[in-house]
Amino acid sequence: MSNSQNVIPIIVSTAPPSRPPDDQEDALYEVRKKIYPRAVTGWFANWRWLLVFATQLVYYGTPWLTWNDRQAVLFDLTARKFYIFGLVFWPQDFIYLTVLLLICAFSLFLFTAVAGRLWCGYACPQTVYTEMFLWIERKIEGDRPKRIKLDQSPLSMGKFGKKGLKHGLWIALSLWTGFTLVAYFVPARELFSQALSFGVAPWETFWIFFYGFATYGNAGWMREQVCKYMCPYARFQGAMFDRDTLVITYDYTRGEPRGSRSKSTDYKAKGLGDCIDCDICVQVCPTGIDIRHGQQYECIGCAACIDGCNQVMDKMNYPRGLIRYSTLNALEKHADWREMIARVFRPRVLIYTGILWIIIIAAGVTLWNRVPVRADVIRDRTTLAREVSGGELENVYRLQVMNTQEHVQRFSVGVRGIDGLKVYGVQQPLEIGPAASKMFAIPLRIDMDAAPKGITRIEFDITAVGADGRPAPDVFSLHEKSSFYKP
Amino acid sequence: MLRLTISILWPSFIAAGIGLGIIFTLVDPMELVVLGEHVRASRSAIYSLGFFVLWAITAMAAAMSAFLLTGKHPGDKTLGGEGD
Ligand code: SF4
Ligand code: SF4
Repeated sequence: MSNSQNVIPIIVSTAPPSRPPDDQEDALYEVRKKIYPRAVTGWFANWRWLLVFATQLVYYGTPWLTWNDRQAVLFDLTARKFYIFGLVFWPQDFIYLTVLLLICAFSLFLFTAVAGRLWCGYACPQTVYTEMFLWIERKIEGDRPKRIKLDQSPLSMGKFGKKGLKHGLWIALSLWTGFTLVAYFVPARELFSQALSFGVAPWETFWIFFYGFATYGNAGWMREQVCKYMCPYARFQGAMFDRDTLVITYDYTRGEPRGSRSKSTDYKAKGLGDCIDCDICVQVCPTGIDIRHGQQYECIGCAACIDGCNQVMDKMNYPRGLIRYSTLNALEKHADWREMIARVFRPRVLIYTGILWIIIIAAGVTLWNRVPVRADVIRDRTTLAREVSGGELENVYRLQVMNTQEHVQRFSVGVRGIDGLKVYGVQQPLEIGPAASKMFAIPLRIDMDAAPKGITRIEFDITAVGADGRPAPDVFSLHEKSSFYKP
Repeated sequence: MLRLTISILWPSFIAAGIGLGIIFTLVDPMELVVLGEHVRASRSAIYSLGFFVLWAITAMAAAMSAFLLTGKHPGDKTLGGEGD
């Protein structure tokens, strides 16, 4: 796919494998060694590309979808309304957002416990954008050896042109990414036509560039450092791992002692293991580690080393899977995949799954039973209780109504709590437009003599009115508490 | 140095984002009263500026933590001495 040379030459390295000193204390000021990941093809690389396409199709595509004559997914911050396909959310609905975050968190826990850093290797935006940026880099500058040579060569017209082209494309992709992000918050089509005429509002412009710059910096320059130093998930995932979690492993007993050899050698007779010490697994690694040193926290589980090593194994006519997905338990006990699958259903996984289902079902039920209208009543404190003509006492209330549906709704307002208390001078039924929020002034009147002194609890009934003008309490019927005051 | 900078700016960025989300789900910026006056700016301007004010504050906290962890103690004679 992204590989210009599908055959991996087997370079025999003579240098003893060495792990760079990893002094965590000094790492705060560590000078980064630039990593030039070699292109790799294979089963897992294909999966990663598939996920790159899938996630980015969703990300870049979603703002352009329409629903009910409006943008299907729009987090309209200026109107303080979130539209997600058929649903409209208000700030009052933020509980759903919290629930959504909880679902994401527990899914991540579950995935991590079962399959390790699957998220990191295939779906994390950092991985996905790095993959896209690397693809551009490779198309322009060539694969690893060429890139290393180019970086070492003195500045020339050719080098300048290549670097310029690369950064130009990176910046274009980054800006498009930033634009897309803002298009989730500001209607995409308007934003696009504004962008064409350079008429984007200042703050929107700022955020496009801000996010674009972050993408460019993270995917173009920082790359694996984001995973190593910035990602909180990378640090606390250790807590979700156990000895049955799927990780990328090097089969030490099969591979060692490693050593170079020609294809025809009877390496078993020479006492060698299956690893030919070609260093391919190190060269393809985006974080620049050597998986043969065992599990390391830098490993993002991208399986590039598996693809790389499998190609080597094929070439040598050795069985595949010297580096493979496995669990520490399985590796130790030489268990096969059947035993590994049996170990998936362990208490930790079952508990995560259980919690996840409880949250999902609870969220589904509340969302299903969501009231189509919200109401809130407060006594108007600016106008005190006053006597009006005819010996009546009046209190005025403010009724705030929010329509969570995308069609007009009608309703009537009544009141209970004091005999003789009635809604005065309001044209019933009231009406509220689609996805709108509206304030109604509701005066209540009562005969001066019938009103009890002081504060009395009352309750408003807000009931839907059907098309036939009759009450339709099955659509919605809300009861809001308030109080009536007689001085 | 780069790592130190990002370990200050990045966690504080996340914290500011969460804080902003909570504050402005509860408070409508249009109802915001600053120093006794209603703010006369668009919602997007208030959201954005609010974010940067919050980020500055959270970054300050993170920078202080970083300083306490890596800075020299007074009276620590060793050059570049770590805390303890
Ligand atoms: S593990 Fe595989 S890819 Fe890595 S050096 Fe050995 S043979 Fe080569
Ligand atoms: S060690 Fe292998 S799986 Fe881990 S990051 Fe490197 S290439 Fe990817």
